Amino acid sequence: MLIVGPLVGAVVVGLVGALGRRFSHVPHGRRWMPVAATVAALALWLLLTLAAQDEWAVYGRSLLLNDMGRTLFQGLLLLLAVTFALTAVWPQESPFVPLSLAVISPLAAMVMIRPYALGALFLALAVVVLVMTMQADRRADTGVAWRYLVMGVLALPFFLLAGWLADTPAAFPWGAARVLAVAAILVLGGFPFMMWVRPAARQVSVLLRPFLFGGVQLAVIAFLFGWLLAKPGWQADPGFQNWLRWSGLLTVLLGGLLAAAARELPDVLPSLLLLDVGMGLLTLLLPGVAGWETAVSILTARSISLLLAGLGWLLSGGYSEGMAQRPWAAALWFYGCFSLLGLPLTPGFAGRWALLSALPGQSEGAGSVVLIALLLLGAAGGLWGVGRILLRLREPIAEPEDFAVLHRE
Amino acid sequence: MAAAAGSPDRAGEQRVTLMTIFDWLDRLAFLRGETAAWLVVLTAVLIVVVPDLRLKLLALAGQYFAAALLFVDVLDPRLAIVKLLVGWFVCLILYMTGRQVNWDRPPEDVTVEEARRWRAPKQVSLGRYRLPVWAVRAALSGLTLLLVWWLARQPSVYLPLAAEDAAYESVAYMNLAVYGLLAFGLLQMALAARPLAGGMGIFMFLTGFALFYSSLDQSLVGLGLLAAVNLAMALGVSYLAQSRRVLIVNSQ
Repeated sequence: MLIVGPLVGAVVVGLVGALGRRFSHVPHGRRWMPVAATVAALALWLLLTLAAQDEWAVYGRSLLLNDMGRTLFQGLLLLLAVTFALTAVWPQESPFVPLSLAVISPLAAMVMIRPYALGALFLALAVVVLVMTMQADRRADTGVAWRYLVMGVLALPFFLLAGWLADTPAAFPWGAARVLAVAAILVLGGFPFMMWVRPAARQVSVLLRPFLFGGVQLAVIAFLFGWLLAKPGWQADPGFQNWLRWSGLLTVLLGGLLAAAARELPDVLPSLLLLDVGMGLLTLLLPGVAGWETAVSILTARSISLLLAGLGWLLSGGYSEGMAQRPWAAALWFYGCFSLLGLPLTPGFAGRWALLSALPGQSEGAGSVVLIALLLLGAAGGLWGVGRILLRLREPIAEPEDFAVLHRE
Repeated sequence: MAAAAGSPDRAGEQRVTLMTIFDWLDRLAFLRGETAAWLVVLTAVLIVVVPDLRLKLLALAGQYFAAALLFVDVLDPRLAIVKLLVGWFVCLILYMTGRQVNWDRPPEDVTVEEARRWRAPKQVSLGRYRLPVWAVRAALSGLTLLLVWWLARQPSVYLPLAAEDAAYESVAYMNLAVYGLLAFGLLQMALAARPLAGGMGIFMFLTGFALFYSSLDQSLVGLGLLAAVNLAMALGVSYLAQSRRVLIVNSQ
């Protein structure tokens, strides 16, 4: 149901969208597709909640929907339903809708299939659909989607090799855990493979961001944790720990530095997102179910933060000056930014607190203190960047000449 | 369909027998083994160095053929044929996309200034020097070729390709093909600025990995999913190539 349902739903929603475009003269014709997509997402959520069977056999392989997977996809479908409902209000942001519903199908197969290595092939299929989703409104530069596609392709061999090495550990000097760490860094956008994160966060539709950077990344982390929970020794591997720790730390520091250096309002959010991506990567260091719960907390908060910031951006009219003119829109946007930073009284705080309090137990001596200090330094950089933009918004804005002429007319 | 020499039946009529995959493989025996590995590397160099997209695509189709001859050494020949068909299907998708985007050439009704946006740069700046792009590509290809040739001869980095009962030397040439496809695939992905050309790097990389992985996992599900990934990637690359054209046309 989770594999076929979204594909059927996407086709139906696409057809409704085509009808809406055909009858664009009818009032609200452009809103038919988002409404149909919202209904489809809610129907899938309901079916998933009521579904009793949780294991299927396909060509000698099993598809297993455990509690973790069920909760994950219920959350993803709800996130999509909210996003689609918002595209009914802003129909110009809706071209990504059918494809983002379709991507649930390969993501579900990725999480459910056993052995885990085969999930990587479904991840590659999901990356292709996501690339199309990013380009659906023909606004973003194709270079962004291209980089994401390349990262997905490069991660594939590492995932499959990790699956093979799990059975033949002596065949490769790195070992399965380290190979899996490289794959995780590649596909989650950690340092040094983060070149697609900021451009994508800046260019794709604001309503797609919560799903792309929150929902999809949570599904990938669920796939990784499924693997790690089945092979508990992998997380204890020093190489796995070191590579992920350094990659996560450098991603956080880079995000903080870029946010601190940001001059324009649209540059801040992508840098804060990069910072949060680094934090998400670090959750893979935490053992067992505690790590998974922290990841859920961080990535759910990321989706909410991006949704709030996106709403603020749309309410401001989609340009920086609009923020100064509409304080409530600016408040939503800044609240989303503060939540990405994990400040208290925001949705992002719980996950950040859980991560920072659990990390010291993963390394000994002064190392853990230095790690926490550097992570806080990154967050401070982000806070500096947001604060500076906030102060700049309070300055009077010089009205652009053509804008002034339009208003006079 | 080609036919083997017929044999007279009882009524004296000439009976036509179709050639099987195994007959074809016998006929192509002179191309198998190390020759096929070098063919794969040669086509990989062509894809990186040649500027014309149509010639690149022709080289990619040839590469799939040579790679299929190598797949026969690690897979059941009937599955190797499926690999070849999938590869040629990828080429067909890229060909149709290439036609639709006019092989990344500018439309006829653009000004000289607008046409500049379509054309790939002909020179690369390296510090204060400006070098022709073809020379940089050729130099990097030469370096990559040397690296691949050296790697393929290092027993310490031999890939685990041989079946347990087979002598390793019998498939040692596979190292050359796998390393060559992976290295040139990465090089093409890094050098190509456009989806259609860069996509050929993706397919080289995937073929190289599939050549290696097929000796590790020969399950039908794994092979089928790898084929699905190849076809999906072709659709993704085509979608990006189309989007790029639409974006540039709309911005004019």
